[in-house]
Amino acid sequence: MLESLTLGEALAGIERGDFSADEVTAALDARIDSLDPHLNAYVHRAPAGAGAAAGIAPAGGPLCGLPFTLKDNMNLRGTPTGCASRILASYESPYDCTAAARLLAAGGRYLGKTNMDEFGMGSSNEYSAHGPVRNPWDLARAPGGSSGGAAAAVAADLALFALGSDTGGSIRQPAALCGVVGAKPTYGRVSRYGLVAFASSLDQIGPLAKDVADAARVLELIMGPDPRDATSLDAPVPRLLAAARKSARGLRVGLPEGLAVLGLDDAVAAAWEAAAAALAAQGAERVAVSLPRLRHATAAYYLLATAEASSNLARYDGVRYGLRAAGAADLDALYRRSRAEGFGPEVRRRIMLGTFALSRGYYEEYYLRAQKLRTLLARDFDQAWERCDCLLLPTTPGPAFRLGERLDDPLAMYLGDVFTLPVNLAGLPAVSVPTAVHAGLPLGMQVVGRPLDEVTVFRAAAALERAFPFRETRRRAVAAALDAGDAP
Amino acid sequence: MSARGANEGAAPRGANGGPAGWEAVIGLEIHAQLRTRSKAFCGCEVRFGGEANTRCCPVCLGLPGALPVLNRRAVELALRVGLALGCRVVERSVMARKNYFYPDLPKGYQITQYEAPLCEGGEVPFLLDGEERRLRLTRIHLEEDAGKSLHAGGETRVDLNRAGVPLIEIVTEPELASPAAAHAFLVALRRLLVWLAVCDGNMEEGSLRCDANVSLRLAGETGLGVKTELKNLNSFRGVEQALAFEIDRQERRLAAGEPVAPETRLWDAARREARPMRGKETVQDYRYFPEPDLPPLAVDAAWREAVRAGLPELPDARRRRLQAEHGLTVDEAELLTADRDLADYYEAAAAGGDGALAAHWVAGEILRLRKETGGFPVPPAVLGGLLARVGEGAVSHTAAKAVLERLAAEGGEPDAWIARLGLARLDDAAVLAGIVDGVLAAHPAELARYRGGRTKLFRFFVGRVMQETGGRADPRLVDRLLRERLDG
Amino acid sequence: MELGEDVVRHVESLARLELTGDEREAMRRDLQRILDYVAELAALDLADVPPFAETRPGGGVLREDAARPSLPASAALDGAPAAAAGHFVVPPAIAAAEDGDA
Repeated sequence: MLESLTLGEALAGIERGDFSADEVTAALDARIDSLDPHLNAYVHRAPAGAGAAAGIAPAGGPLCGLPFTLKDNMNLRGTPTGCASRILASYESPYDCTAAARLLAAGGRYLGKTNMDEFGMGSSNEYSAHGPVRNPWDLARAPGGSSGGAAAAVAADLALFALGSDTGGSIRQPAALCGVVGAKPTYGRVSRYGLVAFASSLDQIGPLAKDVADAARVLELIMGPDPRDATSLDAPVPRLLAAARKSARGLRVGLPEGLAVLGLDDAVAAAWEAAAAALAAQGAERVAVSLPRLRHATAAYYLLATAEASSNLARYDGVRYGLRAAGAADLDALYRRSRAEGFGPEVRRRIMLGTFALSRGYYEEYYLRAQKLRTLLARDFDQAWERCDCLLLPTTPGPAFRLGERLDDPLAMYLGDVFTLPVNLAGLPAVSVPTAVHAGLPLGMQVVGRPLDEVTVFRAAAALERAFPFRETRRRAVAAALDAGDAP
Repeated sequence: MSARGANEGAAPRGANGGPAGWEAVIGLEIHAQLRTRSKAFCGCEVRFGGEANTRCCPVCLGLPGALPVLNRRAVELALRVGLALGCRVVERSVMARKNYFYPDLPKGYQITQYEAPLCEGGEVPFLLDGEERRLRLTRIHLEEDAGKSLHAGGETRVDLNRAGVPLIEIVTEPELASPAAAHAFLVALRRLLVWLAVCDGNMEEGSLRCDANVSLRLAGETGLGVKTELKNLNSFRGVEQALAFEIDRQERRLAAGEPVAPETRLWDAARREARPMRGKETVQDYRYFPEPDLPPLAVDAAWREAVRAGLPELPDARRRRLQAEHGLTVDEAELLTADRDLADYYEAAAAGGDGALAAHWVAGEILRLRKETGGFPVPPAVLGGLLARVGEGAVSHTAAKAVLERLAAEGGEPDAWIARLGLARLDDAAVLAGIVDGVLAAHPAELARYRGGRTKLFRFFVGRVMQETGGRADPRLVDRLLRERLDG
Repeated sequence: MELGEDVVRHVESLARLELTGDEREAMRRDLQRILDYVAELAALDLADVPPFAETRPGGGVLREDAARPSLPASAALDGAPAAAAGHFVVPPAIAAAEDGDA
């Protein structure tokens, strides 16, 4: 069962000589062949054996030739980078994103690109030109988004680990809804060079993995300053794997007050309490903290993220690459028709909202006020750090929802990001760990840390994982769902 | 004082400057390409001409996922200008996005500065009809150039080699009062930019571009009238002509009681008129906001002062120093400080010698040679040596010019050429007496007439002696020897 | 605020999108709901608060001024929907037939 190994197990097995990286890749390829038609997690795959044939993955380096996946918004030379959008349907990257280049340099091997909400805009992976991804726990439900393909692939053992991107929760939310680990580092830790921008001041790349240690391994490989990204931070890469082995004893864990107001399922509230109790049982201290501006974060986020997106997506104009509408007689028609045909409904909605928020007469009232709220929210977190070392809060207000359930209600979709997006607004590191199952669906808890303090975040996340071993639960649930899905 | 300085003495427009006279209020916006090796935000080479779209990369093509990183040298060159002009350097200036769609703007936004430009205030000294003036600046900010669009044959072709080339935009206060003043200001500004090695100043290649705005008001009023903007001004002469045209047009309208429309007009140099831009005049809304891909640009005191310490003596100061040290007129000194190479040449040639004589020669012969050869074929010390001989009377002006030609063509030392060409002054009385006697013997008829009272023939004999000696004879000695023989 | 169709049309034009009548009305309704939600920000006293972007640490990475290889000659145009003689080609701009806006 090579496809079900964790990265840690695979590395150990290769070192022992039990099997080769190519065998692991072949096992994954076979499983993708048989199961991805049900999940729709992949939008591009490396030709079988391509890595070895092309000689790009010498079996050395920390990854020993083991395979990784990229989200469809990450550039890799010679692969399509479509952002699950019609407007980039034919686009092929002429260059590599830094994070992917680092995985290749570490001996990693490109396996494929995963499905996503178009340009990262969505929380269900339903807004994809390639069609929705299905949640491997229940094929009628959404895997979350926007890194839905990555989460589903890792959860269903269709990938060893995956890179996702997180603008308002796009790694952590699907990780939680699919029962895997998802990590978003401090803003600036991982280079954004080559990651197709959704909202530049919020986007971060991070891993989705089968356990906390795997996420730590991968994050260590991709973090670090990059001269091609002016927002990347010049800070030494912390030893996260070592941190994940440390006890949570003595950690002051902050529990934000008043989350119930923000819409919290009873089951999620119970899981949250159980997680807090589990950390306390391992010697951590529970501290009540107040984040008064948390409840305004969603409003601020959807103005700022869309404002930046409206500008970031202006380059898709049908002039230099990507889709161009046929038969436009003048420039304005070319622009408007290409963009109308090329962008899906959610992307159009967000471009409209963001353009509005920046436009003359509305800038002060919308964009600028949101910027100021962001400052206050960051100060709220700063004050919390005076009382605690990390925060614990649910990743999502509820479990995975049914496909189609929120498609006609964009606002309801946005409100589901209420616990993840404040972390992006403040630029903080966070890891989501699956800790509970409710009605057959996984729930995730999120550890949030001080800027640059991934070490504490991984320490607490590993403690949660020890308290709530999840692997067997996930394996059985996914097997059951996929068996059911196999049945006609 | 400086505020109004540029206005003083300007001829009022309108009928004799009477109570009903109109005066012009002119402001300028100058874009100067910075002389960097690479573009503002990527490593593509900066060069004029060449094959289209060959100096482009993911960043300046606006490919998905590419990120800008600001060129340190571009900041330094902008700082040089700001410090040379006495601007306030803003410690944390902000890069911003200016959003608009155009085929030669690859990202759909231009990276520029808006609310917090790099430099504020400052003023440019210039000469108008030999009088010192100053024009205040509003700001100097950094930005990137767009590509080039060629409109022909019912389509537009786009070359992005220029996209991303670093520019500074210099915005003046609207305090110029005449087209002639605008012209004189631009000449001085261009000289300064070239002097500082910040810009090559080449208007034909578009390295330096200027837009103007102009309004009229009744003489004596302090408010501003409705202004029009003038674009497509491809030369300083074009700026002057377009302003004159527009002032005349506005004056006619106002005199007829018709309003001036606030519009942008394009100068047509061939037809000598400024016409309104065609097409629907949509209200521009650039939706500026801080560029999230670039952190605020921090210029600390150490960096600022290091740049200041590297500034050369500025042309205005140098002109005044040359006037004082060498007794030159304003016009002479202005001419000799037209550029730094010329001023350096002049000072080296004049060192220790007769500054006025050197000024005469540099402004005449040396500038002629520079025009012919594109450089300074005679080293300044060599010219200095030659002028020393002229000053000593060892060689005549005419002979010195002949020597200079040989020096320019073949190099060498002045004394060697003087000797080789036999141009040294003939002042050996015995030798010259023999020649004088020979001339008198050869012209008995003239000698007889002279002795008969035709004393004007003295010049004839001088001429003959000079002819015999190839102009080398010491004129005073010839005079004495002739007088001894004719009048003695 | 009440979002009128005129504002939606204006924003649509700024964003170079093209909606059909039905799409525009659906868009207006969606945006109206979102604006009603974010209106909570209008009630906050934010007068003395600096925008977040201004609170970011300055400096960051600057590039040294060294020229690096550009993309190979043809690569820039590889994905171009229309190209001729080494140039990207677009239909003429009827309005604003002016060279850029540097």
